[in-house]
Amino acid sequence: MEPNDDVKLQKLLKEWKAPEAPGSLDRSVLEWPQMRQTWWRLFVRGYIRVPVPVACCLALLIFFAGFEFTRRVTPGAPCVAASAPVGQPVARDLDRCRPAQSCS
Amino acid sequence: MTEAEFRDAFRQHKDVLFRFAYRMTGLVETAEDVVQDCFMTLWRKPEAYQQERGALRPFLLGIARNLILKRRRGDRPQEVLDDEALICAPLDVMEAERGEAVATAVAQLPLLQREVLVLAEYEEIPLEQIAQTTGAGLAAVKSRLHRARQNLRRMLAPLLEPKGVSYGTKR
Repeated sequence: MEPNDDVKLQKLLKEWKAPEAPGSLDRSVLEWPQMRQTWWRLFVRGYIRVPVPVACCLALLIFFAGFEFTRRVTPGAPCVAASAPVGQPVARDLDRCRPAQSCS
Repeated sequence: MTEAEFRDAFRQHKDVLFRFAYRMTGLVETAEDVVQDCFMTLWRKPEAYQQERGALRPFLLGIARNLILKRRRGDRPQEVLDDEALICAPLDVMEAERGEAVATAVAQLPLLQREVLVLAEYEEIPLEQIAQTTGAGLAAVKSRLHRARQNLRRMLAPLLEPKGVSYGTKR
């Protein structure tokens, strides 16, 4: 009975059809050799995988480097003397500074 | 591996790999990903394939199989694979279309039985090559195929028997 059953089973199994491979598969797979051919194509369209901890470290490093750079380039706070308007006399009470003189 | 050889290999084997991955996973997108990863492995590590150890097709099918198992382990980490003795109960297939019913029945098979059945029945790959692909012995492949057929006969009984005949479950 089994061989006969097997024929029936085989026929029945063949009623399940698999779909055709999608066209996107061809495009994506056959692209790789072309990418190797030209370095500029790899440069334009290629990508690299970076682990998250490495990416975080790099981001922190770039942030601190940028921070340090801007801190060095920014000029310091302007000098008070330099900011005073030129030509205005500064009133000073010199007498107060000198020791008292006796008039004889 | 040259570009021409790679393209030839892709054109020659992509359909078999796609159908195998589709029948194993039941999803077009997953099957496409599996085939893509499979050829990416070949492209990146062509030295992994050694011609003297056999044809390219079982080698590629082996990669596809490992990728499918890996994905499955990711989805269902607790699943045991060696459930070869599992007996499937009959399906309620009267309402479903025949093709759909077959797909459901094949999907119910334990993974090790399913891969052997798909390769043997649908792709008509010789049992020796299936053994090479799955890394199992020839006797194990034969036994899995036998059990798979038994289970399918049981599950699809309503579609195999003339109307009015009931098919009992042997548990």
